[in-house]
Amino acid sequence: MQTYEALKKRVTEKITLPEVDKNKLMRIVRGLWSGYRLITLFSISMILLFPIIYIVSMSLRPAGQVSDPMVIWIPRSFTLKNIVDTIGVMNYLPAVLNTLRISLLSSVLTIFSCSIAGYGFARFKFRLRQPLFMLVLLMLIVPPQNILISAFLYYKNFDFFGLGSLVGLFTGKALTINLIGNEFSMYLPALFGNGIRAGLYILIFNKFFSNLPRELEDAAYIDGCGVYKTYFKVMLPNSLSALLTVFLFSMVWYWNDYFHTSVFMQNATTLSIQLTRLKFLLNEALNPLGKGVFVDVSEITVRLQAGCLLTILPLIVFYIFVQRNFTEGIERTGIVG
Amino acid sequence: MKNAKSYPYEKRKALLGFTFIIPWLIGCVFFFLLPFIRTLIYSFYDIKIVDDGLAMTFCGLQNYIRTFVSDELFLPTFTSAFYNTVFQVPFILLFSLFIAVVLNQEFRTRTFFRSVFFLPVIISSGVIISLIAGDSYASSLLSGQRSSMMFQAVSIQDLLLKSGVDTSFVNAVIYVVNNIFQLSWKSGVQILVFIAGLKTIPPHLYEVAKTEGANVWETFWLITFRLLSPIILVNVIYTIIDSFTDYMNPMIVYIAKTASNLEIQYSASMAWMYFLCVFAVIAAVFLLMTKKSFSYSD
Repeated sequence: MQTYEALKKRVTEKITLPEVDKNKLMRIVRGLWSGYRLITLFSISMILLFPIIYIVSMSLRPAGQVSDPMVIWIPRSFTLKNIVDTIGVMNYLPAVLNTLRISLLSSVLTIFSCSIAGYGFARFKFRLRQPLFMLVLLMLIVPPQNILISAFLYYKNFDFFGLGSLVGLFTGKALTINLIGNEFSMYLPALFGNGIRAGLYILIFNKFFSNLPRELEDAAYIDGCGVYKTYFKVMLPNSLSALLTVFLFSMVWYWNDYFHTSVFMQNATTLSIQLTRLKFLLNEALNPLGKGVFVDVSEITVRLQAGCLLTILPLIVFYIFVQRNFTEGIERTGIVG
Repeated sequence: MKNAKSYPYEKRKALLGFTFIIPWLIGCVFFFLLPFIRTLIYSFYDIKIVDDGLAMTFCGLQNYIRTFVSDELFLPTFTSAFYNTVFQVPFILLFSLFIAVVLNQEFRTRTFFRSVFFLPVIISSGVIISLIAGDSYASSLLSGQRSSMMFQAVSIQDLLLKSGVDTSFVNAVIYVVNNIFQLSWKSGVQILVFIAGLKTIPPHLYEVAKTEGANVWETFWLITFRLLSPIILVNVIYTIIDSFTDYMNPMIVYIAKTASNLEIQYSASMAWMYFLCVFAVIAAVFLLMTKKSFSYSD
């Protein structure tokens, strides 16, 4: 009887689960997530950092330790000899200054011309907008190798956008100049929105501007700003994050560019051209003609990697410096907040 | 002035707007469009290089016939270029979206990881990559790492096949595992574009979602993903193009090689064939995706 009562009591009793502290649970989940996040990011970072670690490790070790089985990443002794040697061989300082000038100027021209074009496409409904925008996409799709030869011939007989040929109709001889080997063969396309990967930048700016709320401009128009004033006073300051992104991209691509510089500015001393020549230059420097000195491959390898390090070092320094402005720029430039 | 005043406001604005694209238009016509068309013309000619330029004789479709009939290298190269792209694009997009969303969260080591994930863009230089790839020490190190990895591609393949997963899916997984280096290496730009896009999403939307009781998953799909869709479109197209026009792409290598062998006409005809196919793919993707992407003006 008693057992029956006890059973009945137990069955009818409300089953209550132990009280779970919701905050505690959330904290555990959050902790697990951040652990997972850290591990994932770290392992992918290792894959991405492989070439950098390799370059740094190779260029700082004496040539004798290249195929040393005891050494994988950290050499037993460090040396700066490779780097000092390579600075001399690849004519480093003039090369850096040339590359810096070309990429800086071209990038500034590029963000100027591409942001204007992107804004034009994003906000104005002029006639032929769709077909012209298809032209932007076309610029993206066609690889520069496709138009290499005819572009080369055009640069060689540059006629000031047809004006020279127009003059030629009257004088009998077209007014042309040769841009090959001249830095203007990089600046002119950049100024007219046709630099390296300009199509991509126009697309980015276009998407960026069409995502900004229209109220921004309407307010400016109501306050009596013209189209240009609205752009330069309202839209441009609001697009700092996009400008910085594109500037960074452009800077990097101009810095690393080998294809355009080697075709349009033959014999220029830029870093990537010097780097492709480096193996040849090193062979020449280490093994002067007629001496018949035997040069070990590892001697070349460490100096080649030193050359790679020297080429990307300014970019990485630039990046570390910009990175801060860059993320801050992105975060500060929300339209809201 | 009187004329300008009598113009309707919208029309005048459109005309002024057109001036924004004029610099680009001039450059595009002379630096891009005309050389591009000239390449098309070259592809119908037989060209010899003489002292003062090019000697051209019209030869009809001869170059195109050569592409398909007598060149046994063209078709395999051509198909492998497309095959690579089909595998690469979805992975690169998912990967970069995931990384961008993660890197957009607040945590202590974020700045460090952000700079690491953007590094591939900085060292994107073909010269350096080819120097490292051509370096026998580097490749032996890479392959040494690969063979000592915990998850070897072969064992994953076995595991998946035994558990009855579809073969084509297994192949895709194996492709990703084997090419994780190249694939993650190619995602730098996309990650950055995604992060910049995430910053344009107004934060008040997230506050609203939070007060309405949406969880993280719903917030991601309803706000982040939807508002990011224009950026996703940019990235999809960028990834496809990047894959097709990559300096290492077999087709591009082949085109550049024939051009540097001074077979201008043949290189031009191949380039045009390739371009037309790539154009068809991209136009299809663009049209499909613009309809679904989000814009404030809708």
